[in-house]
Amino acid sequence: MPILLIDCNNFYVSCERLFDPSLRHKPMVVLSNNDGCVISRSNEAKRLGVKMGIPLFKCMPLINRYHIKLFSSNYALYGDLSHRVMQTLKQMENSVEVYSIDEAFIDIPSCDNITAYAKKIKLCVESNIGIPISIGIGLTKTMAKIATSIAKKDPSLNGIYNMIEADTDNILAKYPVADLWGIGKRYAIILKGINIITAQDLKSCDHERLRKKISINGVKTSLELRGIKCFDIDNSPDPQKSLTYSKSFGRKVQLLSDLEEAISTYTATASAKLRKKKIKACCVEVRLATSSYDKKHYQAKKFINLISPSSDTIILTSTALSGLREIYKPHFDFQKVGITLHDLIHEESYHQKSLIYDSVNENTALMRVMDSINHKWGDTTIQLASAGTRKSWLNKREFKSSSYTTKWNELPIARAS
Amino acid sequence: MKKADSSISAIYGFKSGDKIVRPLFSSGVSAGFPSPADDYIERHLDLNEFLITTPAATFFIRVSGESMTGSGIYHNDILIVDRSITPSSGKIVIAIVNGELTVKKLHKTHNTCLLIADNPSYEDIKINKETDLEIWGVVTSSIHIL
Repeated sequence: MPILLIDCNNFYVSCERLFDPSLRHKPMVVLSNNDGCVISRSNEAKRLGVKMGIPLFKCMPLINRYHIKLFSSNYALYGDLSHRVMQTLKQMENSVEVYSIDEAFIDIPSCDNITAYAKKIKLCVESNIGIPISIGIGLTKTMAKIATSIAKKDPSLNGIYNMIEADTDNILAKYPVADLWGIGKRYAIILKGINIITAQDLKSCDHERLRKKISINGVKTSLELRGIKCFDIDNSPDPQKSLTYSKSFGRKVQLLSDLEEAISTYTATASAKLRKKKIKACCVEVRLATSSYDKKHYQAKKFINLISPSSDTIILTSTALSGLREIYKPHFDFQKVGITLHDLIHEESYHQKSLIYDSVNENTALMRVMDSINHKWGDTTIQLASAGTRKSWLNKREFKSSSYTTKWNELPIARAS
Repeated sequence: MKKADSSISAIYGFKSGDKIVRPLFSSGVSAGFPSPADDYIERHLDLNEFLITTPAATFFIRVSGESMTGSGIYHNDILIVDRSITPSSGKIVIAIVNGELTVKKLHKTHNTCLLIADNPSYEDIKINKETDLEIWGVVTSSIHIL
């Protein structure tokens, strides 16, 4: 039963190009939060030498010289288009594992011409959604990943590569072990020490020796290279155990009042997400940090257990604020603050921990009204006063495109003229 | 003193199970003559269900301009565009012309391809090998707020 890996090409760039076709064939990049680093590049930008992950300020000379277009990340758009791609795949096949925002594994029951079927999937996604994809076919997830990287690099393959019918040993002999899924640079250095440099070396090496050096996952990867499935398709991901909202600031922040505004804003978003998924949190964690490059460096975190599970913005915000006040220290340049809501449980499944406190402090009706107003008029229409109005610490998104598929007043425009 | 007339024999936890949907009937059960409406089950009318067949491939696009008024498409209308429908002659389409999204009617013969504007004051666009034509999607409906 072969495994297919569906991988969207230069995903964020492709999303931007869908609604602005004038961007096609142009060098362009998408930037991370706060317009910090490059996280997606068009093929034209890659050819001009823009490296993945490079901070924006470092590649400004290249940007200016070749008029490379800049885009701030537009996650509302990317998330929506990703969801559409995954829905389209799930309609074609039962066993789909959404691996990341732009990748999915599919387990295909044996079929006569798997390459022709992959072509059909590619055509369907590209015409229905408009996002170009590459498909790698292999006996295992690890091999499907190798096949996809080959499909992407060689234009003559037209975006599909079936490794099952290929000379596997020859391919693995040329494939660096550091590029393998689950290996990475750190393990590659350790493996070099025992003379394992290519994927073929890893495939044929002694497993006891491997387990001692890089753990059982290294052995599983080696078995996968031999065609033995060790990582199964996971159609039903484990229920979410925690929810984090943490962002870097647009400028360095020293004042407690600004940090309180930020934590209140983040907690409101996180609490609304909990209510939407009908889950509650049992524990609140607040984290605070300066940049690790700062000479005067400080970071701290505080965990607070709730009396009873909650998804109430008021309760979670006041808990988060009390945690923040405990760990705050003046005269530091903070770069980031964040909240994580831990031990998430479904509303219907929890047993009351305390009959006295349960639901007494929950403002369920108020939360419902808040959610309904914010849903209709926009996320921050109604907030707690502690979230502030000026929010001078907000991160930069200077180059963001419109929310083409998620806001009525930002729809793409077609000319009738 | 009031005699205790009940006692708790057991406490069971609430177990949430799968929802079982049952149709709602328009009137209660009575022993007398049944209403003719009892055979009909009530349901909500859903615009999404009515207007959209393939949600993953359906997008909303706003119109700017007056060239398609002959087809009932006006400036500022919202078009429901389905990318999964195969474009064919006579359909209203979103076409990419010179890097821009445009609304036109497609007219194909075996040797020509035209993008027609309904409004006679706008010219037709003739597509040849040099013009870069791509159909972005097929317009299925137009939402016009009065």
